[in-house]
Amino acid sequence: MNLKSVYETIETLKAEIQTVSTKEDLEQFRLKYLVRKGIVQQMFEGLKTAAPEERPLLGKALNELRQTAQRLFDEKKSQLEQVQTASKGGIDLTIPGRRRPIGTKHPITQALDDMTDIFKAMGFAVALGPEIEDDFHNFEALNFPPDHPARDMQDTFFLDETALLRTHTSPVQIRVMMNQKPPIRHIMPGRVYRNEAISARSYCMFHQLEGLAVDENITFAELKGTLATFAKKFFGSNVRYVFRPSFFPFTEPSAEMDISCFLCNGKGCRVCKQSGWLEILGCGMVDPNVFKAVGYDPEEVTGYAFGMGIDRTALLLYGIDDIRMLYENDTRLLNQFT
Amino acid sequence: MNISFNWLQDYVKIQESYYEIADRLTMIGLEVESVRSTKEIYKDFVVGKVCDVRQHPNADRLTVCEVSDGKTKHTVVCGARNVAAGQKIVFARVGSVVPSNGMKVRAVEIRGQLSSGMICSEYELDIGDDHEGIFVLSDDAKPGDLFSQYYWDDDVVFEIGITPNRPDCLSHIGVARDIAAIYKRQLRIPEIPVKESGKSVKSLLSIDIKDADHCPRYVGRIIDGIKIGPSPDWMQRRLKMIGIRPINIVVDVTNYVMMEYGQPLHAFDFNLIDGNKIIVRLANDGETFVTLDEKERKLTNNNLLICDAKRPVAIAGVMGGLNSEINNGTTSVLIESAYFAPFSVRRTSRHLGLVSESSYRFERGVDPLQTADVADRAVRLMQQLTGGNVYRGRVDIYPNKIKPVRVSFRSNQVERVLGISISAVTVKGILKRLGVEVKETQKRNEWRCVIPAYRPDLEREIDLIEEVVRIYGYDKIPVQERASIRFIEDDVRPGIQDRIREWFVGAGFNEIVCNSMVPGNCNAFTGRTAVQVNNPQNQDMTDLRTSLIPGMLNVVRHNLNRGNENLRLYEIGHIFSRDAFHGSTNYINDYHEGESLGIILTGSRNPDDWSLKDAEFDFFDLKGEVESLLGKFSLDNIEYNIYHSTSNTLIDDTIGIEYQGVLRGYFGKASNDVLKSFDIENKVYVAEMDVALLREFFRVEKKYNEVPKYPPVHRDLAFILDEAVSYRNLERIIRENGRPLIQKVSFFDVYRGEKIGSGKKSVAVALELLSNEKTLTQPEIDNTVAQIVRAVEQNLGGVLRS
Repeated sequence: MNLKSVYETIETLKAEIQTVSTKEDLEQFRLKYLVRKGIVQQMFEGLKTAAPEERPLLGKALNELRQTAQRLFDEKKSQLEQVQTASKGGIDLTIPGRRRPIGTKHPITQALDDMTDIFKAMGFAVALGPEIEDDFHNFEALNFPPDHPARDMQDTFFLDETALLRTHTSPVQIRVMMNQKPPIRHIMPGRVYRNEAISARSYCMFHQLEGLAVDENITFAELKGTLATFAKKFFGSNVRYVFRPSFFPFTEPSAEMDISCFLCNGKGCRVCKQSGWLEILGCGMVDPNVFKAVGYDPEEVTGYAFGMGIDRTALLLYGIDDIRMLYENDTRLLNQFT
Repeated sequence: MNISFNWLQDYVKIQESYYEIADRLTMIGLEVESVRSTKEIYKDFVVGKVCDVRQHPNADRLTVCEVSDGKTKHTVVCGARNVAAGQKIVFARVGSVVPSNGMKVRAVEIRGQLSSGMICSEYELDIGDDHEGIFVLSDDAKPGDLFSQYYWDDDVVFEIGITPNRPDCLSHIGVARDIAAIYKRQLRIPEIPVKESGKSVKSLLSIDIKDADHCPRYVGRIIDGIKIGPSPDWMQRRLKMIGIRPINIVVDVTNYVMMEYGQPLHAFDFNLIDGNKIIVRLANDGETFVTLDEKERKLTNNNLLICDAKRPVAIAGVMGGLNSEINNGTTSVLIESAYFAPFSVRRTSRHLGLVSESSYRFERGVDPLQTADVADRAVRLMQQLTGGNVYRGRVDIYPNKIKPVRVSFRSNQVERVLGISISAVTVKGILKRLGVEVKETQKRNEWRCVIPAYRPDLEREIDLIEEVVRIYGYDKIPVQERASIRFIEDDVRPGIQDRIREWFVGAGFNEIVCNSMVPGNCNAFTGRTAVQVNNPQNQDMTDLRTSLIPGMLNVVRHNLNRGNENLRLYEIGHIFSRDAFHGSTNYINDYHEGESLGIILTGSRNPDDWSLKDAEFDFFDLKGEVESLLGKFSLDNIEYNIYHSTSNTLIDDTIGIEYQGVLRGYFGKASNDVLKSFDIENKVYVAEMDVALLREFFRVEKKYNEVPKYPPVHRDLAFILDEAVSYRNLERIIRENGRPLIQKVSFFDVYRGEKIGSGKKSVAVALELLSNEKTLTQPEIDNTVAQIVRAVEQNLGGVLRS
């Protein structure tokens, strides 16, 4: 072995690597030159027998040989890998796959599903009712006397003297209680109608989720516990809440529940109108007159009821600032809710 | 209800800040919805003095004024005619925001003259209508003083959302009473010493109540010798502060006293009352009357009128009449203070579509025991302010005394309802502070409570429990984060709706939610009689939808207009009709309501699959979706029949979805007429079916059928058939004649061409043959195939294509 043969080998390497076009060829190249018993190592062995005065130059050349062999191998390897991923048999594998469209549930349905799941885990069953109701179920049985101003709280669409579009899901409470005996623990989601001017903040129909629990020994303390648990699960465990006295004909005592604004964490922002609080639901203990209307004895059972607007909660939750967008069903909005 | 913070302090001592009071009121159920502080509103408005006025060099109608704000002088260009040197005025500094319009005052050059600040008019300050001239203050105003301090005494107004059960809080005294109850303070009601003189009222006026149900009490007092003019500044300010426009001394006093006590009053010009007589009677049907607002009102025999000897002079509790209104020439005033029955005023107010401050209070219930006192208060104030002469006594017609409501109260019920024990002493204390008289009875823990007349909402024990906890504090009720629940016996399995939604999400559809109220023409296409809304909000919402499809087509148009052209949509919602339909229930009258599922396909089959990019949806995509969905819900004996309807014109060539001969849904391509009326040019495929069908057959119980032990055999056959022969017939013949080995018949191709001949088609099917007993032999297979081929030949005239 001499200096010349080393340089000749380098040239051979360069020529040979040109002929490598597959992984298999490359592996042959590696076995030939780069393994312990390969040509490069063997030539290094020859260094031991070389004349001492030749050794420096020869060693330098051998090093060049080794580096060249390794470099050529590495370059070829990465080149082959690129080819491998980009194309096989003339196909560009980086082209996107044939995707299927992604289906969505409406944001209102999604908010409702999340609420429903929480209450189901707390032992509530789901009950549904008609959207066309009569005065009895929508008002009278719920302790709205005829000629009472409480009826003004809900602007009603009428169909005739007695029939109307339900203004809340509370008539389902009446239907559930008239159909079965206590204990009762139900949630009642559904669509309701109010004859209110349409704007960014209100629409002529929306969706509510109502809850009702009737049994012996049900108290306001349990109502607070139930709704506090719901709020923590739905809005996050850091949420703060407050119950304020309010008035609904069908509950007494009645309350409104406010939660700390989850957008600004109670500091005050545009959404909570700088108050730090959001009104999310109305609730209270079932009024004895409601029990009388459905044939329950208010001396035997107590109960609580609550109701919340799903649409408005969905708006808050998802940061949509115009309620009408929920009913326009622009797919560019819907597709954000995968 | 607007409540002035300063005004409140006439009746109860308040040392707390206004925001603390606002918070406490909210926490006892008097929700303070907004707080307006004059200090905030008039932050940069000060009393100023006009030191010098000179003509603007470049404008005839403008002047240039030097205004001192107590410290520095400002040059201000002013357009008002009435500005004069020496005047005390309200000066808005640069940077202040004008209350009436929200504009910011800036330093600007007006015709070459720099103006820094503004001299304000009443209109700009939001205290009156005058925007011509500037608002000139009296001479005692000190330049540099804040306007909010000088004019408003730094008052704050609360806007309180009074719930319908609390008519007592539609007044300052009422709100003060609740504040007194929270802080355990004294309520101070104004003393009303009336100086009477002259004749007795009874000799001047008679009152006759014809219908005591509608009018349980009516009090009249007369004040004479008064001069109509503006009310004093302090009264005007208080009224303005709570948003009431001052009119004249008489009207202002009646409004002031109403806002003080919550008792609406009416003032008649007594000289215009004919026959010195007031008759309270029901109107005759069709009787007309012109109210103060100069509108003619048509009445029914349910509406209560106040009349003189000859004619009506007011609609009781709602609005006075033009014919007896206080005017500039009025010298003698009859004050009416009455208790009209809530139901009566409410009916009239609703019938007339007229809600006044007066009707609003009467229909919620005023205090029937203070009727006379309030009349006294009003005449006393008028006397003080105008120096008139109050005639002796009053006419007070009160045929049936209203007895106080008594409620028995068991103190243990507090814990039963609230889940917290509150001591008897505390409970009693709260009730007493709210004016409830509490008496012990023979029974332990049972009291008799006498309800004050100003609280018509307190009728039962539960009402008192609410009062107790309202004042005690909702925050003190524990948060019980556990409950004893009984396992619900009824059906809690997931609703069919959830299953349908999951299916469509997996299939790449967007769920949409549409309005149930639609314009009348939407329902014209469905052939069902629509339920109509009696009081629709507008012409686009007159009917309830009889089908989901029209609403969904609106959504299609909305999306197409925005460039969203490829749509797969579904909706689950209620539809309504006057006629029964499949899946409908009749809950109320003859209204039928059912749950429906709508499906829409339009545009490209799959824009995210580049190999299908340009493939448009067609009829068989829709049919496939329907078939797959029904298959998912285990509905395999569905028939798809061509369905002819003259009334349902939603779809051309409708396919009906029939189960046991009953139509449960339909699908096809939306008809041109429909698309035209929705302004849609693209092809749209629509399907609708009743959800009850899916629910009925949704297989809950799942059962395993043994999988075949022996391998199936596949054979493909192609038959040349007349065009008229339907695939369904072919499949039926094959199935009937391939028994018992035939398992599956699948369509895979139809071909038409020269080789086949005109009027003919070649239909290719794949057969699967299988036996559960053994592996099939070649002769058995051939035999079955031959049997099938023969049957197709004989029954359908089909020829096996070789």
